[in-house]
Amino acid sequence: MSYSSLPEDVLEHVFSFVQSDKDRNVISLVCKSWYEIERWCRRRIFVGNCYAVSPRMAIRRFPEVRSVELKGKPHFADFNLVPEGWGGYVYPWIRAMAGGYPWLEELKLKRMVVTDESLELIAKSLKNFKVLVLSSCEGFSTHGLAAIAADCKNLKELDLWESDVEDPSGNWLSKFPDTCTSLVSLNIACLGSEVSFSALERLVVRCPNLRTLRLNRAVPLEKLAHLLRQAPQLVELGTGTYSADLRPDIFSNLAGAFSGCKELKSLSGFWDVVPAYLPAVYSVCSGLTTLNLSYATIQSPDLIKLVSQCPKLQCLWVLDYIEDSGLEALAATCKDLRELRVFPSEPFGDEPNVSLTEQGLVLVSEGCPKLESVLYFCRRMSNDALVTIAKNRPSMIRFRLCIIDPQTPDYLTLEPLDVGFGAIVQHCKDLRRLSLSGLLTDRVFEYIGTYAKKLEMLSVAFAGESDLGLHHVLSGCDSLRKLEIMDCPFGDKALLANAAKLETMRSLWMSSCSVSFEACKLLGQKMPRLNVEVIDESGPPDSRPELPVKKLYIYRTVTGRRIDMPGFVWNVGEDSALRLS
Amino acid sequence: MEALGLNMGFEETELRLGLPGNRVRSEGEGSRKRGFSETVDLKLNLSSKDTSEKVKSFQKEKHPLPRATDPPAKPPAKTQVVGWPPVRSFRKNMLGVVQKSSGEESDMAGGNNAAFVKVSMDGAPYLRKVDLRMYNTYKDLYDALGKMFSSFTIGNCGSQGMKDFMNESKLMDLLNGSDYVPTYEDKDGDWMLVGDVPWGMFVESCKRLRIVKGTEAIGLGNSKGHGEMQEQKVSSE
Repeated sequence: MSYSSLPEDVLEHVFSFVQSDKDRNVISLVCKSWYEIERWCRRRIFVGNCYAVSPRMAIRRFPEVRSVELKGKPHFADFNLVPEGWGGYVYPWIRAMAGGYPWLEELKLKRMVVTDESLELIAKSLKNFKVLVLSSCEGFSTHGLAAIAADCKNLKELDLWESDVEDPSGNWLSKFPDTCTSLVSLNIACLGSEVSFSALERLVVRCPNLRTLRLNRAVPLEKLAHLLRQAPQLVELGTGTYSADLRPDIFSNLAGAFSGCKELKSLSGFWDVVPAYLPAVYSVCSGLTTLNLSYATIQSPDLIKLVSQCPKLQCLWVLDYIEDSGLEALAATCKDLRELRVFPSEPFGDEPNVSLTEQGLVLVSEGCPKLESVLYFCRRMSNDALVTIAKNRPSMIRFRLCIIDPQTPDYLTLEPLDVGFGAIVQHCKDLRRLSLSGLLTDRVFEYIGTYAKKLEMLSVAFAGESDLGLHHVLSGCDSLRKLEIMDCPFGDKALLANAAKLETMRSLWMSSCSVSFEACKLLGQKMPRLNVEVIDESGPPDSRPELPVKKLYIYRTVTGRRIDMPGFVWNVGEDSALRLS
Repeated sequence: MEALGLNMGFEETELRLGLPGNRVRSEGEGSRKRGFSETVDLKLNLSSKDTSEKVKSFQKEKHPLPRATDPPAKPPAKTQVVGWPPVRSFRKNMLGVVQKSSGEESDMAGGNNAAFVKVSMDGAPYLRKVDLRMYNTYKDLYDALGKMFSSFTIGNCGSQGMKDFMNESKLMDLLNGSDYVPTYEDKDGDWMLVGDVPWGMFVESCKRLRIVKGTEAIGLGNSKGHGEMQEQKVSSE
């Protein structure tokens, strides 16, 4: 029996077991009938750049989608490199989906501008809406959240991960009707102002399936115990502020409440933490797999005491207060560790304020056999350390190193760190994401182009010497999807010589480099399936053609230039006339 | 018009920068190879002359970056570069309660390592954000604001308009003159004129900025103390 003679509903049933986008895309290429069957039964789509395709096109091809994930601004927007008003508006998508996907259940947005109007439209039009994740989004207030709370009768998940929410006073939590009992996950950690505690408590009490609760800083520690006793089934908890007057009754109440939470696997929050209250969580430490202490301004000894009790820890986010000694303890205890992120407590200080060096990372790489994902801010590094780390952990997948001072050399030899990062890409054959820092010449890019064949995302700053560096990356990295570069002497030659490569990538960001406006224009004219956008807040870039463009964002798209560009963004495209605001 | 081949062979898709109006025609293998080897030849020079000149010209505002061959030395002046180190603003602002070793009391707003505030301008369709700690004086701030909002204030970019916005004193005039007045919301929620209090005090108390049309600024409160810098005298009530 040949595959092509299988009845449609059998094929559809088989396809339903295939969830990955990549595999689904491959299925759709087999033949026309498989393309047709597949597109009618695809239930989730991921659009990594909201401007790569129009909502209408997406809806037309996949009419029965239940879950949509969209990303908007480029990653460097996180570090204020993208001016406000650049774009990433979700409203056109919501408007299209209100008509095209009336049964949409899930919407996950990252780095997008979401207005209250958008949220109200979701609440009004999508009758089966269940999951809203707004990650690093902005543009909305608690008014919009109130609409979601009030009208989404089957809401399961509301996650405002690290979003910037306007907080006019308003009791939006109490807009959840008494009939709402379906909540499974609520993350309001980013909200700046108080929420009504009684509304929160009532909500928690009537939602027996609540598994994730991330509170905001305004929720006082004295009230946490009370909440926990109402929700002992919680798997993931984010505390509010973790400080209170030192009173034994508060402590014992809190400790007792925590000991009742037998399912707790993830802890976060810990703003303003008072060390004396940390032991209250000790009873749950043995089961913890995720610990986010990145707001906990406590010193190494207290961190060591905590971390030493978490042998099952898989993911730790912490400030550099942990120091090398704390990382040594981590390496000794947490043999299951997969992901480590160490954030800087004083990123703008001139001098190190903590004793955290490359040694800490080396120790963790030695002691934690499953370590695969690292984000590490420090002030010094050596090639030796990087080579050691690379050899210890060839299964590394994400390696993001930020040596705080730009162009810091190997502190032992004063050489560039080319060899160290070269070892990383050579040994870690499955490396998917890499961020470079320190003193780096074109050589490091030669290593990357030669060895980093699975690399999908590369972040570069203050590195390289010439276009050759960029050329190595663009011509060598077969899997590259996202490249973001700031303050590097890369110019026209490498960009133009690798123009076709850009169509195989999601996007390229270059700021404070040496790309000329002429080159941008040429690229835009020759490559109709790329949007070449120049960002310049001081005026039209062709008014000063002798200067390099300040910021450049190039991305592939099937819909041509976008229509929502603000006055400081120029699409340098087919018609060489510039758009002016 | 040169058609770009469908097979992604390097040669077909190589673009070269010619003078405007000059089409790059394929003159045969020779010219293409030359383009590529030109790139490869960069290996022999430490950096192409063009590139290093361009790097110098647009980086004159920042501290000079040491080249790979220079003995590594700390850059002379420590200016903050936008986007570096790559720390998200909410992390910078959240860590405002930095525990100094002396254990001094610090309130939530004090001791911030960054001070991001939203900036809106009447008539402009969208907000901006600035980190007040990037600037040392009111003039620095006005310069930055002027650059940010010049694309709105200059109407049609005719040649005169172009000359205007490239003229920095014109930008200052926009902000200092009667057309637009910078105001800010302070910690107590009151709207004040920018420039009345010493710079440091302003940075600590400013929650957001709003650039209003001059006529609307009449009636705003003056500074509560006796500020040294009185850029505008506005009668209250």
